Amino acid sequence: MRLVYKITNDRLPELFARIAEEMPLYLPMRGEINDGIAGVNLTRWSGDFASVDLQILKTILSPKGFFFPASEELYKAVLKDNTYEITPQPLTDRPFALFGVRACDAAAIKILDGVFIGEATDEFYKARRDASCIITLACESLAATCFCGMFGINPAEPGGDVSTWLKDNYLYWQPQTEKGERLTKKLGVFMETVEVVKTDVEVHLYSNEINVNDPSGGMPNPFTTLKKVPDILSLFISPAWDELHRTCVACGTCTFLCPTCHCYDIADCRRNWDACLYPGFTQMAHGNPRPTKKERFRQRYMHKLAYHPQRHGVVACVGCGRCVAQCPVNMNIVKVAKVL
Amino acid sequence: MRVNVVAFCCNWCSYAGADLAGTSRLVYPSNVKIIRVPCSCRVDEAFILRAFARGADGVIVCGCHIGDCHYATGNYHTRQRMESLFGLLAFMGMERERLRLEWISASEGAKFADTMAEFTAQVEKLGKNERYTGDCIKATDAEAAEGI
Amino acid sequence: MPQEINKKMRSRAREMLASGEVTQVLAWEAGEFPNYPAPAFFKDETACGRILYDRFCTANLSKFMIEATRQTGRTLVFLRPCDTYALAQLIKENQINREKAYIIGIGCEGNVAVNEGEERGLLESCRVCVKTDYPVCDELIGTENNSRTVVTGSERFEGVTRVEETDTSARYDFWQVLLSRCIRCNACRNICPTCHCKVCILEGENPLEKQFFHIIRAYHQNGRCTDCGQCARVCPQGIPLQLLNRKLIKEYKPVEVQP
Repeated sequence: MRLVYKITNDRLPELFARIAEEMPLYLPMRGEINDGIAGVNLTRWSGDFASVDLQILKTILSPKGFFFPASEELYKAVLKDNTYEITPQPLTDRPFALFGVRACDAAAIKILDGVFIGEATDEFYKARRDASCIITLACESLAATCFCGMFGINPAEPGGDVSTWLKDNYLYWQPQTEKGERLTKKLGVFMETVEVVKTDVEVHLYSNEINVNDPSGGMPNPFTTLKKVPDILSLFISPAWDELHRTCVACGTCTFLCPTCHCYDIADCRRNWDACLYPGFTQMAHGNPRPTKKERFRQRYMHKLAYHPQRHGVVACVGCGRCVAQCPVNMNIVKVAKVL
Repeated sequence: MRVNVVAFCCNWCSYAGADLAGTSRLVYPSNVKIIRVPCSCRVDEAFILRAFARGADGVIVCGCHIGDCHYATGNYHTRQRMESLFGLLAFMGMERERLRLEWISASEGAKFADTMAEFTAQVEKLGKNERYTGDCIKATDAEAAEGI
Repeated sequence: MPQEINKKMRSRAREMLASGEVTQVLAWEAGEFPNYPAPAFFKDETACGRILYDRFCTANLSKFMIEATRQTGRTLVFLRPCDTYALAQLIKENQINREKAYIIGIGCEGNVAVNEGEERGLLESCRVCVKTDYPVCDELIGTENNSRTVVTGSERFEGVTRVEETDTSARYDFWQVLLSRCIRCNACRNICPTCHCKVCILEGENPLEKQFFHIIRAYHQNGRCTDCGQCARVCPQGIPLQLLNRKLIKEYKPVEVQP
């Protein structure tokens, strides 16, 4: 049983400053409000504790950008004497820490690990991933758009390299992995150690209206029913797609905000986020195998709900609800799963 | 620091005016790079932004005088569009003095040279352009390279 | 008031489908999560029972009509004032076959912004709405008492003037902070009714480009933008894109082009 540490909330700025001395620290901070709504995103700690928001459940952008950046230079190609001199870009392996990652996002990072690290490892992703220290924060409540429980994710036990949770006037801190232990050691005798029996914490969090067996508050789980469909082909040819795709505008917001979506395009020497919903995604010299929105819409959801589970054993969705909250036309994966 | 000025000149009036300035041996700054277009209304807003992205520090669009357009109504469109575009760019923080719209006829060689000299001096006073240079991968946040 | 309109919408939709005047109805229905209604097509009378109209129905329907009027049969669509302006513009641009659309203008009190299922006040575009009429429609429902307060012209451009009054550098910094948040999700472009190019010229060259994109996109709507405010509503990062379009609307002076 790993040790648990605790620190009073009023000393949190010190804690963050101390972590930031070791490595760049990113935590949920409110952006500048300028006429629009500035949401909370993981931003670099620079001493401004007033902008830190530990109550918000979802940051607007998911943490995937720290491992799989929106735009990344893979190599430099310089024309020299009629040939191209190609130099791969150095891997980004400077250690950094992410604080306040929620259970859904932590689970999503594991899903991305399954994609980028394995038989064929993406070195760029792996370097960033190895350099990262993920400090998660347990959720004390659920937002209206959250449905992580449908995937067996426990918002009260987020995992990561270090798990933290807020209770009474303390932040509790428990390293979960070697990396977590190493960071904790570096923080020295900064925090008090405390013998906390795990169940105390669980009881507290459970009593905050999160029922781990049904964290989505009574909503029936269309994903478990979907798992029972054995035949991918029948899903593929389902006539439901004809109606489902019609109100989607194929903007790509869901894809870019999704913590598990990982499609990209390599243009010259850059790797950029791309979306399978975009018409150009499968555009090739001979034409486009997904010629209309229906095929592309179907692709996105088949990938998340059928193909990915078949290859990796887990639905490529963590129920964070970002797509629900931000879709311009309120389309979302729950609707698709239900209809299928 | 040498500033770069890009001049979009319509083939029928202002480019001919530039030609006249040349044959008359009138001197104007060599910072000016002329791009010939059939009509000033050919100038798309993207051209102007691309010019800034590729290192221009000032852009001037030259066309025929109102009423004298070779294609009858082209410069009306130019006037409308450039006014809107310059207004929008100024709204977004580009210095208004880096942009100009001028009507120069084929016989106005001197006016061409004078306008170019004046505009170049104006841009020189502002210095090199660093706004909307189109190096869009770099966000303003220097940490953009590390993450989102 | 929306509830009464809702009832009338359902009955009128059922009537028109039954009589065969239209083959499908475009309106909103309840989404999977409370207060997140979604646009939907209704093809039969039973389905019409799901038609929902309330202050959370923020998505514009005019854009879907482009595809809908290309199909066989007529489409019944319910449009709020801002939406009818957008539709009128699309008809002008030959994107919509007027014969294939049956338009019912519906009363509007303004839509509300929603955050995690909770109401967060009027949408910005509704707060400064200047539209009371329906430039294109076949009939009206519930418009007798459009109880929205409609603002004056100068109030509408307040956001723009506030930015204009700062100096050039301040304006540049203002926009840099905002535009750097952009992730090029393209929601603004895809939801905009007047952005209907089959292939966007801003696609492709640099898909993560976030400055030219907004300047040029706003510029392409010059003279066409109907100020529906959808672009700003859908931006996940809360960038006030409507300011760019409103600036152009403010400066637009139609110029006589005949010699």
